[in-house]
Order: sequence, then C-alpha cells, then structure tokens
Amino acid sequence: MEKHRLPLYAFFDRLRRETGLELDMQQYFDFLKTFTAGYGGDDPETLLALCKIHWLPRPRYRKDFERLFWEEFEKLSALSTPGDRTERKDEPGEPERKQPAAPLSKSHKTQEQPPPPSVKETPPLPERKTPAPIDDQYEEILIQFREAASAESLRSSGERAADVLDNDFLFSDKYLSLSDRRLQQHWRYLRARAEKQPGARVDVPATVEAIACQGGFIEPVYQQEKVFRRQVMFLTDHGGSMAAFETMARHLMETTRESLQVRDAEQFYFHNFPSQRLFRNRLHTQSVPIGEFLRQIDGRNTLLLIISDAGAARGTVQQERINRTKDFLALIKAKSPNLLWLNPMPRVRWRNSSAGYISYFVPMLEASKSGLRKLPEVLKRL
Amino acid sequence: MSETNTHPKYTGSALKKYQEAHDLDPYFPSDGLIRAVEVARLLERPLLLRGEPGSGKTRLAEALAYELHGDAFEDYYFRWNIKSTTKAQDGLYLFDHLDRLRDVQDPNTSQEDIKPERYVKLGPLGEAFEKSKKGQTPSVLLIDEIDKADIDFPNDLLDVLEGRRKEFEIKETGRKIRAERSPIVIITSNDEKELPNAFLRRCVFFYIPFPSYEDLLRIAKANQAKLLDEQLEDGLIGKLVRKFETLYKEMRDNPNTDKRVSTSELLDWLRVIAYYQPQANGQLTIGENGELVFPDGKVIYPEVLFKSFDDWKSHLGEEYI
Repeated sequence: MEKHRLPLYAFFDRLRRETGLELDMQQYFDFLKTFTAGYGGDDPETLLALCKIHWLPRPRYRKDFERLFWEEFEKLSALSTPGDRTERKDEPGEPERKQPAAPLSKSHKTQEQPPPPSVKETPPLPERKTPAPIDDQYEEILIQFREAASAESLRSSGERAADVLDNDFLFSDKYLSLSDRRLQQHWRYLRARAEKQPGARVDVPATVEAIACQGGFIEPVYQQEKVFRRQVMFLTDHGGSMAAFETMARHLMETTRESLQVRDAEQFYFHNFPSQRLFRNRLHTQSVPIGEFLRQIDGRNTLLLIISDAGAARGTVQQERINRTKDFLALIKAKSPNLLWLNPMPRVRWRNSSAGYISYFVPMLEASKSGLRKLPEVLKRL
Repeated sequence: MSETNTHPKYTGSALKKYQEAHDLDPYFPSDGLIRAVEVARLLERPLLLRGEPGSGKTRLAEALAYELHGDAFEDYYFRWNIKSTTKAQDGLYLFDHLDRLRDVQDPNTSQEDIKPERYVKLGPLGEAFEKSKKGQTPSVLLIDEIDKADIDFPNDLLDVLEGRRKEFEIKETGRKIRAERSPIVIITSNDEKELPNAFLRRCVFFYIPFPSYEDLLRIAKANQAKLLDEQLEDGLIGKLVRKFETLYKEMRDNPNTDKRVSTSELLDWLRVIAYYQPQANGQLTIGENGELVFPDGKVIYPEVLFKSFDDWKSHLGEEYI
C-alpha cells in the first residue's frame, strides 16, 4: 500500500480545513521547492520553522498551527518503517521525499531533481483502489489543471489522459472547474460598474488639463471616488442534490468575496427553494424571516447571487418548486435589479427540469468557465 | 531558480560591528530569520515581517543590502515608508504636473526645458526595478509599515510585484521600467489584522520574537562602540540587561501594560547610565545573588523606559510622581 507521496500534504490540508487560514496550492508547491532544496533541515524544529515561513500568515494562529504540525508529525513517524524507504533521507517521517518531483514537475517547471525512474514503477491504477489498512492513510488525488489555452490543450489531451493514470491524485477543493484568475477578471467588470461620485480630493493632473483647455484656472477638478457595491448576498442551496457542489459553491463564494472587495458579504442558506425563512447557517438553527431579509437589501448597492442547481440535478419538472421560486424572485427584484443565478449543472441539463423554467425569470449562468464568460453581457443588461 | 542559486546567499554575518562610514548599527538576525530571507530570495516572493516594535523588523533590509553589496549598498537599497495616504502608484513614479504647468506658462522656457521626462521622479519601487539587472546581485526594497495604508493598497501592489514581467510604464513619457530580475522585497507590518488574504498568499512570513537575554546582551555590547561617552564594563552591562529583561517579562505578562519596553529603550537606557555613571556614585549596589539592586528597589532613569503614565505608576508607585 502506498504511503503519503507528498510530504506534509496531510498537514497542509488540515491547516486549510481546521484553521481559518486561507492557503492555496501554490503555497504548497513553493514549500516543496524549498523543502527539496534542503531548507527543512535535519530536525522537526527546522521543518516546523520552514512550514511557518510558508503557511503562517497570521501569527495568532501559531498555537493551532504547532498543534496540528506535531499531531501530523507523530502520525508520520508512526507510519514509517525502515524497510519501506528507498532512500534514507533527513526526517524519519518523510520517506519518498523525491517522488513528488515527477508528477509536479509539469506544473512546476523549476524542480531541481529529474523525475526519478521509480515513478514508472508505481502500480497501475486498479491496484491502488484496494482499501487502506490503516485509517490514517488515504489516497491523494492530484488532478492537474491547466489554463484553457485551447490549441495546446487539444493537442496534448491524449498525453494528458495517460499522465493522469500514471500520476498520483490529490483532491483539492480549490481547483474544480473554474480558474480563480478568470473569475476575478469577470467580477472586476462588475466592480467597474459601481457608481462614481466626486470626492473631496483634488485631481491634480485633471485640473492641469482643465487649465490647459480653459486657458486659466477657474476651479479645481476633484477626484472621482468609487462607491463599490457595498453588499453582496449569497443565497446558497445546500443539501440534497446540491451536496456534490458544496466545494464548488464555496469556491465561488470565496473568490467573489475577495475580488469584489466587498465590505459586507452575507450568506444565507435554503434547501431546494427559499420559503418563509432563510437560514444563516448550514444546520438551519439560525433563521431570518424573508421580510427581514428583504429589508436588508440596499437597492442598487446590493448584489444578490443565488447558487443552486434549480432542480437540474434531479432532472424533473416540479411545479411547486418553479412557482415558489418565481414568487421569491419577484420579491427580490422589487428591491434590487442586481440578481444573478449561478447553476453548477451544465446548461444542457436544464432543459427538461425546473431549472429550464426558472431560467426565464432570472439571468442564469452555468458556473463554469464557459458560462461565466457570458458574465459581462449579463451584467450589462441588469 | 537556477539564477538565484548562483547569487550570494544571506548569512547574517556581515554586520556584527558598528560601521561608522555608513552609520550602521550592528544587526544580529536569528537562524530562522536568515532562513526566511533565503526562502524569499529563492522563490522571488516578498517577505512579510512581523514582530514587536523594536524587534528589528525595519533594519533587516538595510543589513541585508549591506551584506549583499558592501560599501556600495546605498545604491541598491530602497526604502518606502508607507503612510495612510500612500497609493501603489506612488511607489512607481510621480509626475510633477504643477511644475510643468508653471514652466509651460513661463515664456523664457524652451521646448527642450519642458520635455515630460524632466518631471518624472521614480518612486522606491521604480528605482529598485531599475537597479535590478540580470546577472547582478539583486537590489533590496523595504516597504515599511504596510498596514498603515488603506485596504486596497496591498492588492494594488500585488499587481506590480506579482507579474512574471516586473515592469510598468510611465504614461506621460511612454518609457517602460523593467526589472530584469526580481529585487528582494521586505515588507514590515505592525498589525496583523487588515491585510487581505490574496496578498498574504503571495508572501512568505516571519515573526521576529523579542530577543533573548543573550541576544539583548550581544546587541548592547555591540552598540557600545557608538556610545559617545564613557563605556560600561561588561559585567555591569550583563546585570543591567538582566534587569531589563525581567522588566520586559513583567510588562508582557501584565495585560494592563500600555507600552512594553523594547530594544531601543534598552539602548537608550544604557546610554544614559553610561553618561551619568550611577555605579561610580554608589547608587547601584550588588545584592546577595549577584543581581543588581536599584536604590529603593525602583528602576533608575525610568523616564527612558516608561512612555505611558499608567506604566510609570504601576512600576514606580504613586509617590514617585
């Protein structure tokens, strides 16, 4: 049975899930770079220091960070046995440190070690599916994502299929089918539509230009200050058919939160369709009546994003769902025109389901690269 | 990464003594800090430094530049002090529109005199880019107290620092400023609260803890060379540093402390003591366990150490006011 092939990935993953620290895969790859260059030293203390350099952006998380590190380190030390190691390297808990060089070298061109031949010796895919004897071990799945630079991807898609079988896999919730940067580009467009108003500070270059045009100084030109959309409200459908899209929905929300730089982002939950109340948490223990929710909408300054499959996952037409959703949407539209529906299911699946009907009442976009490409047009029409 | 491997590493050992020619105080980075600098250099990412005031965050960049470039370091060291009104653009360049407008209106100036190039002034980031040539040791850019700026600033900065091509254009003249290789960027912050996540993800981090007794002693002794007046003998310095350390720990453990003492206060305090020589006047005595004893048990020259009225009262008592 294969052990952890990526050093400290388990620790990295726990950090992301159990603390409030927001880390991305690039930070893990950076760690691999310095780790393989030897900066992790010979002892766990040095290794911990290196981890902190890469993954501890906020000092107040130090205690939790250290606790998780030592927990994971204990596990690794317990797992490794002398016979399994191909090379005796620094840490006792870090066998096969060089292995990652091969699968990651594709996305990570500056690895120092050449792909070791042992990668080709990895057992073929079917064997790996045998269940792990120890609870702590789990298969890590690395799905390699590249930018959709189309020509290149079409050409090499054949190779990629083979690569994918050979390589390790690593399940990451950040890289499902959307590209962060692309999404941020789209949201930036929305940001540009925010209203501008004259501020209190003089815009010197513009004033100088005005003087040049007018032939003399009449009055200063003031800087435009942007009033960003203050409020974003996410309405998320969760549970049931949306369970599979949990991570995607979360990813969407996080990216939106950051790129819009909103000062006020709230999230509400519902199940299948919003009814009398919306819930502030997954367990549905804190709720807000619809009336109060509507009162919080600040007209054009609020952007409402509904994330739901709208019944497309189930694939049937449910009249009640359509009617209730339609009513709810009407209520919102009366307060603010900025309403968007993001549907994680592909468009082809909407047609013979509730989603197809609902898409007539609200701009509905597929939550994928191709769908979000249409975002600028949709925003213009809002 | 291969290029960064051929360039000088930072070992932290160049600045052990006061350098009079440049007025550089000695600097003793810990192993952890040296490692953090190396990681930042290798990955070409900014190093975000935090730590208590007086822990040496701001001085690292200068010490680093000195080690990498020696006596010419001032040509390769750039410092950007962030204020609450600072914008990312300010680090790149400033164009003096008003000056040009005035010159344009002056009949005595020729066309040559009012060329736009004359009114461009590169900011610290722009200068650091210009000074970063391929094949050369990188320049060092210090962005000090980034948390003072407004909320958008770190992200705006990221746009310039992050791109594969580190370059920007001066709109008024069309000139492009490009860094052929990445300068080493050191960013300091006092407050961890407001930095956006997208920015944090692009940095590597280090927290400089308050120096240990041995570190404090080393700093104090190395700074002796700068004291203009009488020197203090080693034994006495050791005892004074010990007292200082005790005071620091008391203040740290007391949640009501307004402002803890820092390294700079230690150095000021030693300097004042060296000037007034209380040990020669019998004001300081040695107790039974070899520890220093202050007159009446109260810290001498408290005005150098306590910067808050409440801290003063809690350490000296009401009757000392």
